[in-house]
Amino acid sequence: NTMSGHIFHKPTSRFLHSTASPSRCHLRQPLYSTPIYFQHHSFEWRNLHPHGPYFYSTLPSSSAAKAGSSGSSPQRQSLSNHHLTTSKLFNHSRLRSAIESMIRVNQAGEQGAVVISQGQQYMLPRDAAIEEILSQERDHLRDFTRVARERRIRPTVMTPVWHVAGYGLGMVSAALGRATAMVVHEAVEDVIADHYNEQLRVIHEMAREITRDEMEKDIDNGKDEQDALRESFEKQKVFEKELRTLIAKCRDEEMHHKEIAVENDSQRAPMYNVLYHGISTGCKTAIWISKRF
Amino acid sequence: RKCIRFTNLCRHYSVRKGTDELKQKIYRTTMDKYVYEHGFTNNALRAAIEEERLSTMAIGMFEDGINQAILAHMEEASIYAAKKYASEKQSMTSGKQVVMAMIKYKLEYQAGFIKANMWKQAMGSIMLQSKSKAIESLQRFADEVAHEADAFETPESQMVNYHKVDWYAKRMGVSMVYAATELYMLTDTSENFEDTWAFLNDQVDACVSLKAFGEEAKMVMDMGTFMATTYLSNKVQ
Repeated sequence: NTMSGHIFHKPTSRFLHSTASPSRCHLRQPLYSTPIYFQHHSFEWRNLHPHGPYFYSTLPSSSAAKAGSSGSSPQRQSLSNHHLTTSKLFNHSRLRSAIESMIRVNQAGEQGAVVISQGQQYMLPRDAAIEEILSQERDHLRDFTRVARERRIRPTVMTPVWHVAGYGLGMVSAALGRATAMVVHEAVEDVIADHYNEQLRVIHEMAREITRDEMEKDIDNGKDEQDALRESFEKQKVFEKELRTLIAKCRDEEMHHKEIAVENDSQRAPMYNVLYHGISTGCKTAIWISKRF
Repeated sequence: RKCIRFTNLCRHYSVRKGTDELKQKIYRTTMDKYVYEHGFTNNALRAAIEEERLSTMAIGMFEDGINQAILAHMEEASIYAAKKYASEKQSMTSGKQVVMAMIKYKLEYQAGFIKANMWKQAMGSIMLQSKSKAIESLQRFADEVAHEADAFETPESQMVNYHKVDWYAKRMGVSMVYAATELYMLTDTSENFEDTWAFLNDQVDACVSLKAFGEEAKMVMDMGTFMATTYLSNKVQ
C-alpha cells in the first residue's frame, strides 16, 4: 500500500483563516494587511488635534463668533482657541482626514446616480420604477451636499465629466430597452452597497484607533482601566454618528433600488453578464478617480 | 520618503502645542520689533530668539527662517479679517459686499508694512523661497471668503451649484482679486488707501460681470445644442 508510510499532517489552511479549533479561532493575518491609515490613499487620516473638528456626533457651530474671548493668552490671534471649527483657516492641519475623501466620493456618486436616472427618465418617461429611484437619489444627494457644505469639503473636479457621462449612459441604456436600464441600476447599486459597507468598516476602525489612543493616555494618567474602557466604548458609539446613520440609510435604500431593478426583469436583459461586469468596472474606476481628484 | 515626512508631521499634539505657542511668540516679536532694524532677514529672527532667552541654535526650529514669520503674519491677517467679518456679519446684504469687506480687512492688517515701503521686500522673499506655502495660505483665505459669500445665494442654488465648477471658479476669482489688489496697494500713495478700495470695487464688479457672461454663454450653448439636435432628428426622419 503506497500510503502505509505516510505521516499524517494536520490539515493546513491555505487561506487566511486558521484551521477550525477553539484555540485557533482567529485570522492568520489581520483583517487589514496594513493599518488602515496607511492603506487609505491619504494615509494621514489622523487629525492631530485631540478634539478634531468633526469626529464626534455634534458638529461644532460657526467659527469666529464664538472665538471673541481669547483674552487669557498674551498673544493676539492665537490659533489654538479655534480647533472646534470646520473653517480651514482656523483649523489648519496639514493632514486632512480620510472622511473628507469619503464624503466627496459619496456626493459625486449620488450626483452620478441622479444624472443617470434623469437620462433614463428622458428616454422612458412615465416609468414608475425610474421615478421612485430618482426621487430617493435626489434626497441622498441633498443630504450629502449638506454634509459636505457644513464641513467645507471640496467637490471632485470630475463633476462635469460625470454629469455628461452619466446622462449619456442613462440615455443609451434606456434607448436599448427597459431591461438594460434596470441592469445599469442593478450593477451600480451592487458596487455602491459594497462601497458604503467598506466605508462603514473604515469609520469603525478609525473610531477604535482614536478611542484606544485616548484610553491609553487616560490610563497612563492614572485612570481606572475599566472606566477608561467603558468610556472608550461610549466614544466609539458616538463617533461620527450622523455620518454613519446617513451612510447606512443610503446603503439600505440603494439595496432597495437593486431589488426594484431585479423585480423589473433586469436579469432577462440581453448580454446581461457583459453589461453587468462592464458597468461594475466603470463604476469602480469612477469611484477610484473621484476619491483622489 | 513618506516615513520621514510622517515623523515630521505627526508628532503628537501635546508636543506640538508647546512648540507652536513658542514659535507664535517669536514670530510676533520679530514682526513687531526687529524687522524694522534688520529688515526681513534671519537676523531679525535671531534677535527675537535672543530676546526670548534661547540659544541661537533655536533658529533650527524654523526651517524657512524669516519666511515662516512672514507667512504667520499673513495668516494672522486672514484670521483678523475672519474675526472682524464675524462681528459685522449682520450688516452685510450681498456676496459682493462680503468679498470686499474681507479682502479689505486682510489688506488693512498689512497696511503698516506697506506704508513703510517694506512689504515688497517681504513678498519678494516669500516668492523666492516658500511660494507654495503662500499660495496654500491664500487658498485657505479664499475658501473662507467664498464660504461666507455663499450664505447670500438663494437656497436652491446653494444646493444645486455646489457640485458644479462654481466651487473652484469662485475660489480662483477671490484669489486673483486679492493678488491684484495687493499689488496695486504696493504703489498706492493716496490718503487712507482710497484708490486701492476703488480698485478692489472695480475688480469685484469685473468678476461678477464675468459670472453673468458665463451664464449667458451657457444659455447660448444650450440653445445651440437644442437647435442642432432638433435639426438632426428632423433630418433623420
